[in-house]
Amino acid sequence: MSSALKVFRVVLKERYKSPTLELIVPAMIAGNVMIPAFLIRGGFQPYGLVLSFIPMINVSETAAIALALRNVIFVTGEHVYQGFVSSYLTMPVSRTSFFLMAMVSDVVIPLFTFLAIETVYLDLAGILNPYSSSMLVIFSAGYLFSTGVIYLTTFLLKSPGASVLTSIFLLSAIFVGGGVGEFGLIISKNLNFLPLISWTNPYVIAVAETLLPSRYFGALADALTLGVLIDLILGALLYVITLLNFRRMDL
Amino acid sequence: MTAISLKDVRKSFGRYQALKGVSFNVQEGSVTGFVGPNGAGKTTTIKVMAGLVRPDSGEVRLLGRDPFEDVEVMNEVSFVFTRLMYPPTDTVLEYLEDQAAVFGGDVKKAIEEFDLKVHLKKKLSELSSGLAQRVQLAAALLKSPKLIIADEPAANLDPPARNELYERIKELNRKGVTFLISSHVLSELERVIDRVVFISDGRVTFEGPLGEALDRGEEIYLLVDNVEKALSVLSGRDVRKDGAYLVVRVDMAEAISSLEKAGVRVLIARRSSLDEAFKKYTNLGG
Repeated sequence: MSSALKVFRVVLKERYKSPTLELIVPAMIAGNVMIPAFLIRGGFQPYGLVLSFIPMINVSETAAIALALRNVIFVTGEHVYQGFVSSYLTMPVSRTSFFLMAMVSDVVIPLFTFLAIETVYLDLAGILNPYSSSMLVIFSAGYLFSTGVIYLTTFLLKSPGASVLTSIFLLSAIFVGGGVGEFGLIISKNLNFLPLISWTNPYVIAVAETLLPSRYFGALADALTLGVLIDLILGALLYVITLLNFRRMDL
Repeated sequence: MTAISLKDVRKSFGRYQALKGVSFNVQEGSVTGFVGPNGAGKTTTIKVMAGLVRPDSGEVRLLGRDPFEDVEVMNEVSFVFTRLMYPPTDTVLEYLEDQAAVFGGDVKKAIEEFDLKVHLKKKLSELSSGLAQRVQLAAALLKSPKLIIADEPAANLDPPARNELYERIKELNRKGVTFLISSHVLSELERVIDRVVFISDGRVTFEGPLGEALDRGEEIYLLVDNVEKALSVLSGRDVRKDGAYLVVRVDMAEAISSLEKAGVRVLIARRSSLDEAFKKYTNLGG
């Protein structure tokens, strides 16, 4: 086994000690309770499915984000603030490799766990369709953007409390403010600016698209696609900035 | 062969220049003391060697390799810090197993050798300073390192724990392990090191064998039973009082002989210690 893989095993173990997954996996499975609830109330309409994937309503998504938040701020962040990262960086691993290992453990594994559980759940329920698949893609893009914000604030602020408050405030402001803006644009039928802010809260557009698909003739779907792309690009940028910062950080 | 080589290493933190061109070598097989007052740049230098602080300029080589470019060198170099830098909720056993998972080594043997069996389930946060240092040293040796760099390893230890640490260092050095040890507990460091590097204000002020550092100036320290009489016997020579000691620039045998002829008992006679050399090379002598 290569040195990097050996270090990765240690990094992974630190984040997923028992009972982390024993708590999170059942919570993610049980957190899908809103999917059948909305589908029944919505008479199995697509918008019922879309609504059930809005963060906060969907407990599984909230659990995935909570796990990532804990990993980033209270494991990786804490290791940096307290100097424990010294022990890992005096192992035979470069800073870039260590950062990627931490990122995969902190962020990618919770996302993949969520996606795996959702895919199996939706498939078994017979509702793994373009709507639910699209919602998984929308969530994944937003998740990568949000965790990118959390990573950057964690490495810049070097304080767990300040990182939690700042990232939650920033993300909430973007999500709520963007959602209100999108709602205003949609109901006033002013769709020219919608693609520009679609990344802030794609769920408003997704709900509108599934409620009244014929009214907008695909304009909302285009804005939605653009929003997902912007989220992915911004997320990648935030990770690159954090990595560059970490590479030259004095520890 | 050179185990550590630093050439003109410079590092600033904002406006503060911590290292102003640090250069020194550590010979393979030696136990080298890295000595300087607080804020002299010892920890920054060690962090540079550990790859934790990137220097602004200069060259760093551990066992002939650049720790920033060739991270595999960490398989042969161990670092021991003042406090154990590992997640404090991990137990001693988890810590040792993690280290063994990366570097290899026999955890059972380390547990036996360092007498850690009864402490295995303790969290790292629950360990006393002495025990934490013992655990850290046990972990550092799992990889069978060629070089151990220790930053103030005795800083928080009581005298018995310090003695134990230094005995282990001597034993490991006999087996061929090279050491660079930063410390401010100089009287005890003197017992274990054979070379010394003095650093002051971000610059190396002396580098060489311990004997050479101590011999410079040829001062000797005498503890006598009658200070006034001794002062009159040694009058006309370069003599001064330093605490209970008389410090005199003279041949030791000649001084003892003339004092004893005058009926002054010499209780202790010694050359300058690392403490005196420390004052001299770090501009703290006043």
